[in-house]
Amino acid sequence: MARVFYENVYKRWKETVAVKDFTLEIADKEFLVLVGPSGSGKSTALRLLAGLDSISDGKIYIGDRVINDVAPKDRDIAMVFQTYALYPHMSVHDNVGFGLRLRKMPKDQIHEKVVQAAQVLGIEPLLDRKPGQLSGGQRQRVALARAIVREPKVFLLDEPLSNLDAKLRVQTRAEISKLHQRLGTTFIYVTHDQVEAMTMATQIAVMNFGVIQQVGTPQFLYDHPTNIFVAGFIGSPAMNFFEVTVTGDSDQVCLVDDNGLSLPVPAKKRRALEKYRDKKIVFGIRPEDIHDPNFVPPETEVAPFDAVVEVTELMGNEVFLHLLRGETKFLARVDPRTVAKQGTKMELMVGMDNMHAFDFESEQTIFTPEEEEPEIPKDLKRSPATGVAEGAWVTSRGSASTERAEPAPEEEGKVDLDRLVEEEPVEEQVARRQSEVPQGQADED
Amino acid sequence: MRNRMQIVAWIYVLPAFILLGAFLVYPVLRTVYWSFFGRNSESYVGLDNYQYLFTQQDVLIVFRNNLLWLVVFTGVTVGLGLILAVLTNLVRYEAVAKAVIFVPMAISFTAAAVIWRFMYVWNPASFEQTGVMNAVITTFGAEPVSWITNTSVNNYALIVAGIWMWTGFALVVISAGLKGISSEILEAARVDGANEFHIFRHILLPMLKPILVVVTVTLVINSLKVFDLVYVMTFGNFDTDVIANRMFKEMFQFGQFGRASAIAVILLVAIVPFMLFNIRRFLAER
Ligand SMILES: Nc1ncnc2c1ncn2[C@@H]1O[C@H](COP(=O)(O)OP(=O)(O)OP(=O)(O)O)[C@@H](O)[C@H]1O
Ligand SMILES: [Mg+2]
Repeated sequence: MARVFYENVYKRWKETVAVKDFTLEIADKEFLVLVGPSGSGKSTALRLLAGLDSISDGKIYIGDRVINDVAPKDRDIAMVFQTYALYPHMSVHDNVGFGLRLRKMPKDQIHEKVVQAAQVLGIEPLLDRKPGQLSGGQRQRVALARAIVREPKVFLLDEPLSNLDAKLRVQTRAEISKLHQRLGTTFIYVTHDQVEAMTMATQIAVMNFGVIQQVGTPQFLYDHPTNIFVAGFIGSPAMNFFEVTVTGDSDQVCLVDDNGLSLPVPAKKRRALEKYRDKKIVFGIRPEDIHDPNFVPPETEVAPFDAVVEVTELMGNEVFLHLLRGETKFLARVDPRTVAKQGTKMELMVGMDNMHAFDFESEQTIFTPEEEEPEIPKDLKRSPATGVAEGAWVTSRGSASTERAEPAPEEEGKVDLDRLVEEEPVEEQVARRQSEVPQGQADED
Repeated sequence: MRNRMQIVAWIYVLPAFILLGAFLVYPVLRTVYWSFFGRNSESYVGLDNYQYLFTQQDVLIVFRNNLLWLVVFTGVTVGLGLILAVLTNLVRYEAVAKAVIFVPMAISFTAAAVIWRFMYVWNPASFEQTGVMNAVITTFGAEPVSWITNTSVNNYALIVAGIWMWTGFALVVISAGLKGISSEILEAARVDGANEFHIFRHILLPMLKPILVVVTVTLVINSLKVFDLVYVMTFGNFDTDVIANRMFKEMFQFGQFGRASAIAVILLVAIVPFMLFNIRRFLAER
């Protein structure tokens, strides 16, 4: 119904190209998060869809209609701005009802709808106030209410949480996810915060320099980043990178560097590395795939190496080790029982199953998902939620899952990667996540 | 401690109060006092001066003219300033456009009045028209109009000159207010379904209201005090006289100190409510 399709869209300002050859299909009911660093063109992409900036080249469809020349008011979209952009001279009630009033809806009907939307967002007691008399969080809710009251085809949200404090952000994140499920409408959400992207999205599009780097589910992007940029951007703390050389023959492939590193590559990853023999590549490993030898998760293929511990950060449920090998600094996220003394050398294990490798020149991934075995046992330790935000992620999906009580159609604990690569129906994604989340948490605790 | 602070504060404002007292309050009170005296400020005449002013036909015309100024001049200037502010905000060479409209403000009012006198020059129909206005209308086949002496148009002719001079002021102040409205609010309204007229009517106008009030009050006060334009262009002849000019005449032409004082008092009383309103708003905004 409300599919959104960007077809080779460009946006140029005088010298800058803000959005470049942007092609993206957003299925109906999808929660797409556009994520990328500051200035990467996320807002511009959103504003093009809203009609607030003109499209330099290409086409944008909402449903089957090309909307390039349609005025914003006729696009049937709603937008939540970073600054909320509430009308300061109107009461909350009138702010929310403004769009309906412009559509000449009768007063009593407007009132009914406004109250309904206010109930959904818990701002009923505030209806008579002016925006100036509200807190940031309350304003944010009013902005959301103003968006949902019109029942638009597509919701656009441009960094709606960035003006909130950390706690409120986590809470509102969950509420927006809930809202999405409740409304069953297409959401497009812009943020530069990858945690927000991971926790809310059904699909993520990662942008850099106006170009889409990769599109996929949060889990897929986490497991199969297509290039160094995405690998470093998705996941927190960020992935570690090492410059290494590929050595060995078809039976035994090793990654070596000048500092005596020598990591054997697991069998299933060897084939892809063959054509890189004796060449430099970039080896990537996530902090959570570096383990204390005493606490290696079962069935993990590991390779030993050592590093100097520079700093340890105790996070409670885990420990961050800031490590140094030669000139390279990197980070490990290890079991809280790990004993590490600052300034000493320490033996560590790298979970090579989850290794990443990138072409040194093009920075593109060397492994394609298909080249690996089709069924990878799900590493229970892994969860797309990251860092400190872990609990929040669980809360948001956890509470959401109670509303959608559909049984998970997939076997527990397994994720079919091929299915992930192809389009996966939203419901199944949600169901899959529901089955994932408690596991991830259970294991973490 | 607090008391001492207060005392110090009072000491610091004291000179200002003394100066204000000597040069403002005292003259005002003195003027009120004289308004009850005769032409040489010697014989007490009670309310005679006021009675004279409110019954004399040509003085009533003066009041009518000021009312005309107040309504037409203020209304058109604010309206024009608002429209131009919104429009110049949309055009490419915004700064140039605004500067052009603002230029009259920079010209001495007397000079402007002289310019407009030339614009309104009337020559008999058989001659070439040297006044711009008549030159324009005669090219469209109309009879030349004697803008300055024709009592059905001359007040409006003067008011047009006033509007020309003050629109720049209204424009600049309203533009500043317009700049203060975040573009995201307008964008939000557009996404909400508003067309440009809706935005003007439901967003810009209400949000500019405080500024419009300030501009309006300022212009009302100016319209009540209008003097230089009338003095230079007609000296109040041909039914175009206004309060301030009449006061000048009573004082320096007719030597009627008492009446001049009474007119000054009437003018003051007319302006005070607007001043109070402005001050109230100013205080409320803090
Ligand atoms: N009106 C404009 N005129 C000229 N250049 C612009 C304009 N708006 C945006 N740009 C440029 O386009 C690029 C993308 O901007 P955009 O606002 O889309 O970034 P963003 O990804 O939303 O960043 P952020 O996370 O900081 O909001 C930037 O380089 C910016 O300087
Ligand atoms: Mg932005």
